[in-house]
Amino acid sequence: MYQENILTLNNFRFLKWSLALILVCIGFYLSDSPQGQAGGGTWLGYTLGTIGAILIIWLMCFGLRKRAYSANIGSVKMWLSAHVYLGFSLLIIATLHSGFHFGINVQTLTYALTVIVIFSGIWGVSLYLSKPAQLHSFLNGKTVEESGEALLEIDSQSENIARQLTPPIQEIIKASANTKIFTHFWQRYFGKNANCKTAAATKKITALYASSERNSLIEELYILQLRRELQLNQIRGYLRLKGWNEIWLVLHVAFSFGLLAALIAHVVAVFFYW
Amino acid sequence: MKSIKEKKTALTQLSKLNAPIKGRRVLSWALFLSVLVVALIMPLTASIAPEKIADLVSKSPIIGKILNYLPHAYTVKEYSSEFQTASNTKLLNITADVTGWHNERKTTPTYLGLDQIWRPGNSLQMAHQPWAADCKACHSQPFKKVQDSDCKSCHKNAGNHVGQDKFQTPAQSQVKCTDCHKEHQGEDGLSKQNKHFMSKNCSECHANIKSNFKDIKTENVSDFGKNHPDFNYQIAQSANAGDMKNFRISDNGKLVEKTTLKFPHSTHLDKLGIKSPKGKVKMKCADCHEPRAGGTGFQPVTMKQHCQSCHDLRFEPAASNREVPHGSIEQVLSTLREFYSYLQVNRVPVDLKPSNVGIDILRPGATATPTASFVTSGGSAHTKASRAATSLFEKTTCKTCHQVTRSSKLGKSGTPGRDLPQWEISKITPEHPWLKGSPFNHAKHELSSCQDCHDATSSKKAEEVLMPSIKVCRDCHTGKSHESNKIVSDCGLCHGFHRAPNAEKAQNLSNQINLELAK
Repeated sequence: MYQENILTLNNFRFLKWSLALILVCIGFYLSDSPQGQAGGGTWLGYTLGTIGAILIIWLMCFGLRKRAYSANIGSVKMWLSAHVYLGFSLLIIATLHSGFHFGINVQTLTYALTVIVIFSGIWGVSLYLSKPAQLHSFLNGKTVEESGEALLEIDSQSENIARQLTPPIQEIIKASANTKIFTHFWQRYFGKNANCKTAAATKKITALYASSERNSLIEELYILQLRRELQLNQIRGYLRLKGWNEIWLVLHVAFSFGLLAALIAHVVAVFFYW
Repeated sequence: MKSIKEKKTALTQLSKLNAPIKGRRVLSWALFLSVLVVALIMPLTASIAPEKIADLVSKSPIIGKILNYLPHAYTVKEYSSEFQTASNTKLLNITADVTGWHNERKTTPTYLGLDQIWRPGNSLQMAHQPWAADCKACHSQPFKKVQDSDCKSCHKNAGNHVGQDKFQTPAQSQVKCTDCHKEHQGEDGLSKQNKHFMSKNCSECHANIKSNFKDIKTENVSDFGKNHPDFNYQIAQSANAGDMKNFRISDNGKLVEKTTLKFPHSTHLDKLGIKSPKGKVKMKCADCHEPRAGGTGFQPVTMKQHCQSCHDLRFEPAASNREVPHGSIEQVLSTLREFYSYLQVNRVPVDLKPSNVGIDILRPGATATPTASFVTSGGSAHTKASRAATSLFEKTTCKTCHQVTRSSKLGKSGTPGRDLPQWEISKITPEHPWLKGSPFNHAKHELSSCQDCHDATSSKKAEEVLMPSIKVCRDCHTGKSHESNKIVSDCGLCHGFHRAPNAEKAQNLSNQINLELAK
């Protein structure tokens, strides 16, 4: 038994719908012998364009449905399943509508934005399906707040031990406690911080431990800082995944609004110079 | 104290990073508005009110500077120099009509051509490319399809489908230029494209045209391969130009155009050759039928160019290089009368054996019995000329190709030959196009032999019309649907839609032929 997700919902109901729509469109495209070249200007071109435009509007309505908590027109999960599959069919329909003709114009801009939005959507689906489980495992079942608290706990313990040691060691610990999770905003999308003071602290303490006499306090401090580093990297990995999980949607939504504007311009342009 | 504060900072950063990423709304609005401005609002205003934007730019040059960075067809400088002033130069003077367009409709081209961003991917056909950056040259009214009046502002001579006086057909009132002529389809000419996709529209009316128009002579047609009548050839009914009737091969089996010319194609195209002054010659069709430039039709066959090298017009064996002209009866008779009178009066010797021609000067096919010389025979000059004329008209020469009859009429007064016996030569039917509505291009069929379509080698009489039946064409051509080893042939491959100029052209052609024949 597999667990039902947005792709398998209702025994792949929307996959079937979407495939049917795609096959019908391809069938019409192949059997059509238009006057001149295939493209948006034939009756099939206008039909595919209309289907595409309606799909774009409907797909964008998912944003409204998502927020309409009290609506009873199908569950959000069902809408999402339909959104994914019908959204993918738009890729085929828009391509057939173009008749494979491209140029530097508003028509191709609309197509390009459609492709960007659909691919960001596909990316989103893959993240949606794979990453929540990974996210959960990243913090060993802890919440972010709990992980933060754990850092503070390590810091206070380290501080206590460092107080018994030399001021340079105190400085190292202080810097480690003060280190930023990410120094630059883009680092979160790689999950790494080259300027991590905790990582530096573990290295320095290792060096100290090797050069000086065996000191149980330093050994303890080393273990604490190593834990801190591991904890930090867990948090970073978590934030990286969470970042990607969110940034695709920012792009998906923003480009879909760009697409809406291009679509309006495209439709107006076609009929303005009919 | 200090460490507690630091602890707080670390947690704050974590909770900040853990919060949902912001900017979705801002980025959405930014993308939506920027696309809308560049792709819609700017082209739209530049098209609707180009003058106002031009005014604005002339008042504040900064706007012009910004606009110069955007995708457009012209720079601000070019636009203002080429479109703004009434006495437009360079671009609009490509044809005088272009200025006319915009002036007549009181429009101005889109400011800077900012609407170029709307142009579809395929290029315009070559002839229209000079106006590619001026959408409003054709799309004169917003939210309306390109009108016939837009096309006709240049294409003033485009004819209607059938004579407007005869029928009020849907082809006149409902069919628009753009129904057949699709622009933005690449650089091949529109008329060229139409050869391949006009048939769908034609058969809408022509499949059942008989029942829709009672008096119409056209047959129902839906497809060249499956449902197309045999060709309707024009057959001359008399020697008078324009006296023609149309016949189909299926009507009479074989078509006959009654002509008084005697010409057996079979003899001339004999595989073994035909006798000529230079010995036996194997003739080809092209020896007489020379194609016109462009490949449609042939140049008229003339006595002088195509026949006379064998069929000479000598009349006096003793004067072997003298010929009568291939002209009117009185010209021929006068030549004879003058010739024999001159000899009589001046008593000059004539050359009996010319140096450049053999002794036996024979018509092709004639037996080698020398004709008696009229010079050496007795009698007056009048008698000699009469005998020579009788021989020429009735025995040796004219009769070979023409229908000759004795005439009781008097000769043309004032001409030297008026006192000779008179003859009449029946006029031959004039040369004319066989098909009125569809010019056949021989140049495009040059790889097939003439005999494939025209059975000339077995034709014994000139009156046999050697035009092929539709079956012959169907050996290679099929209709709209594919058939193996055959050419898909839409109506437009042979027929034109615009009847009037074609008919006019055909008339001009036959006039031209008649003129050339009269020479």
